[in-house]
Amino acid sequence: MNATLAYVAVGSWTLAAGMYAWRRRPWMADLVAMIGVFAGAMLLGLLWASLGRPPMRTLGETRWWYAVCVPLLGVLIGWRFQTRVLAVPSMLMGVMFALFNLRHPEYMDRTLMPALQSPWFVPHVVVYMVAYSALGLSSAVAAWNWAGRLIRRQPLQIEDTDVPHRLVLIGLPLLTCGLLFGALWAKEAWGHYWTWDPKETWAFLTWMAYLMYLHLRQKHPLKPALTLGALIVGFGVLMACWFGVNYLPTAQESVHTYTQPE
Amino acid sequence: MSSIARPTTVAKPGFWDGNLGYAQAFVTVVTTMTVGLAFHAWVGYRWIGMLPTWVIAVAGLTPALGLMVAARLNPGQRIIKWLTGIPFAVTTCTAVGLLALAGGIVPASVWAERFGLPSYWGSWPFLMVGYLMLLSLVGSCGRRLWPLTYTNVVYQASHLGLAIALLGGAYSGLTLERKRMVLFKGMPAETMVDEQNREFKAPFEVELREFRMEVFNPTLTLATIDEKSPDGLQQSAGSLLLKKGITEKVAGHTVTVEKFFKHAAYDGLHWREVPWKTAAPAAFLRVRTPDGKEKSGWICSGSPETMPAYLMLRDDQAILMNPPRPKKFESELRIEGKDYRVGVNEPAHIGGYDLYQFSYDEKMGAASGYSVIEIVRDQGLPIVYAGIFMMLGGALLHLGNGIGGKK
Repeated sequence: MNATLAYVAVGSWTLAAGMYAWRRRPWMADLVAMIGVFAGAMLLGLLWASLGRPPMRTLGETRWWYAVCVPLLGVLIGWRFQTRVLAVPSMLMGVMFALFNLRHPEYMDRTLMPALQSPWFVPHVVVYMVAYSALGLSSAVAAWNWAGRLIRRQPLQIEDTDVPHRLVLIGLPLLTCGLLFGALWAKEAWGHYWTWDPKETWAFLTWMAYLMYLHLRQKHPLKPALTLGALIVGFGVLMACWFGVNYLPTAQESVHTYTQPE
Repeated sequence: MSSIARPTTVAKPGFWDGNLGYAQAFVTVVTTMTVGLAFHAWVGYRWIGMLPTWVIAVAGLTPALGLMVAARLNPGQRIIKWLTGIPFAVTTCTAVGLLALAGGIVPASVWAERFGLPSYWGSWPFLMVGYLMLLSLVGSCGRRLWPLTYTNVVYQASHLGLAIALLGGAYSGLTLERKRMVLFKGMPAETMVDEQNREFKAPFEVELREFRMEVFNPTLTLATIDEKSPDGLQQSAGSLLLKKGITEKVAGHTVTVEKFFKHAAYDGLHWREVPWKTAAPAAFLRVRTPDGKEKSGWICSGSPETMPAYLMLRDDQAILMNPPRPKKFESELRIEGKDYRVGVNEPAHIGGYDLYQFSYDEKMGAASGYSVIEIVRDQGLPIVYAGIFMMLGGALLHLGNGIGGKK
C-alpha cells in the first residue's frame, strides 16, 4: 500500500511537471499535482499509524515530508503570487526526493527514544520541513532562472530574484521558529538550550547563511548574480546540516544521531 | 611668456578616510582574530569566567550600549554608520560563520588535544569575533529605536531579540551551575559533583525512592557473513517489534513469532518465563527462507544472567535479537519532604534549580541500582527566554509580511 501511494505521488508530480512545461490548462496540472500531494499525505498518515509514532525520526522519514511539502508549496505559492515559475522545479524536486526514498526507505524502525517523546517533536520537525521546502525551492528556482539565462546567453535580471526572494521571506522565519523550538525543547530534555552540538552548529550555520543572503539582498538589490549565488550556497549549507553532518568527523560527538537508521 | 600649467596633486584618500565598507570591516575582523590568537598564545585557554562577572558585564556592555546610544543620537556619523551598517554586519557574521564551520567539522577532541582548547566555543578568537558581531547588532538596534513604526517594531523584535538572547547566553555561560548526583535507592544524598568530579554540597537532600524503566519489545536482525564489510557482517535494519503471534517479512524471509517471553531464562533444556527484571527477552521463531526452507528455534538478546541465542538459517546467515531499547525512564525522588518525579523531557523545578534525569546503569537496564540526576541553575535563563520570545514574535511578523507579499 505504501509503495502504491508513493508511485501514485511520483506519477502525479511527473505528469504535472510535463503539463506545466506544456503550458496549457495549468489548473489541470495543479489538480494532478494535488492528487500527488494527497497520496503523499496519505502515505505519511499510514506510516504514522503503522509505526505507532510520528514518522519524523530517520532521514528517510523526513525526506518523505520534504517530498510532499515541496510540491504543495509550489502549488500554494504559485496560487498566492500568481506565478508559474515554481511549478516545474517544485514537481521535479518532489519526484527526486520520493524516488530516492523508494530506493532507500529508512523508515522501518518503530522505536522512539525517550528524548524524542516530547510535545516539541512534531512542531519542531514540521516547521523545519516546511522551511527547508521553501528554502530548497528558492534555490531551485534561482538555479532554474540562472540556467535559463545562460542557455539564452542573457545577463541575469533583477526580476529573476523576485520569486526566490519571496520564498526566503517565508522560509527564513520558519527556519528561525524551528531553531528556537529546538532550543526550548533542548532546555526541557537536556538542561541547556544550546550546547554547540555538531547538528546545532550546522543549524546555526544554515540560519546565518540565509540571514547573510537577506542582508546582501537588502544592500545590493541590483546585483542578481550575488544574491542568487548566496541562495545556492545557502542551500548547500542546508543540505550539509540535514544529511552531510552525519558523515563529518564531528558526527560521533552528536547527540542527534537518531536521524540515522539503526 | 607662456605660462606652464602645473598638474595639481590631489592627495589620495587614506584607507580609513571616506566611506568605510567591506574592506575596512575585513581588516577589523582579521585584526580582532589575530589579537584573539595572540591572547591564546599569551595566556593560553583561560575561561573568561575567571574574571568577576561584574567586570565582564561592565567591559562588555559599556561599548555595546555606548554604540547603541551613539547610533540613536548621531546615526549619520561616519564610523557609527559603518559599525552599525550592513557591510560590517555581513563581514562579522561571515567570520563567525567560518569559525563555527571549523567547529562544526573538527571534533572537540582534536581541538582539546592539538590546540589545548577544552572548549572551542570558549576560545579567544571565537569570543572576540562574536563580540564584534554583537556590537554591530546592538548598534544597529540603536539606529532604529525610534520612531515606533511597524517596520521598526518588526526590526527590533528580531534584532534586539537576538541581541538579548546572546547577552543572556553570555551571562548564562558565566553563571551556570551544572552538577550531577548519583542516587542509590533509599539512601538520601547531599553531595553533587561537577564535570571535573569535584564535590559540592547540594542545596537540598535528595532521596531516590524508585527508578522505573520501560523498554520497547526487542527487534531482530538478519545477519550474513560478509568479508567485504568493515565488521565482517552485513545486517538488515532491525524493524520487527517482536510479540507473540505476528508474522512479517524480514529481508525476504517470512518470520512468525510463535512464543515471546519478556523476561526469560534457559534452564539447560527449555526456555522459561521468569519474573526477574534483569532477564533478557526470548522468542521462538518459525522462519520460511526465500528458497522455501523452514527453520525454527529460540533467539535471545542475552543479559548478565542469560547467554544470547540465535537461529542459524545457513552456514553464513543467522537471525539475531537486538537488545531492547529504552522507551521511558524516570526517578521518583523525595526532596525536603515532598515527592517529585523526574523523567526525560520532564524536569522538576525546585527553588531556582532544575532537576533532569541524566542516566542510569545501562548494563542493568530496568534493574539499575542507581539513577544519575543533573541539577542545573541558570540565572541567565529569563533573559535568554525574553530574547527567544522576541525573536519568535519577530519571525511570525516577518512570516506574515512574507505571505502577505511585502518585500
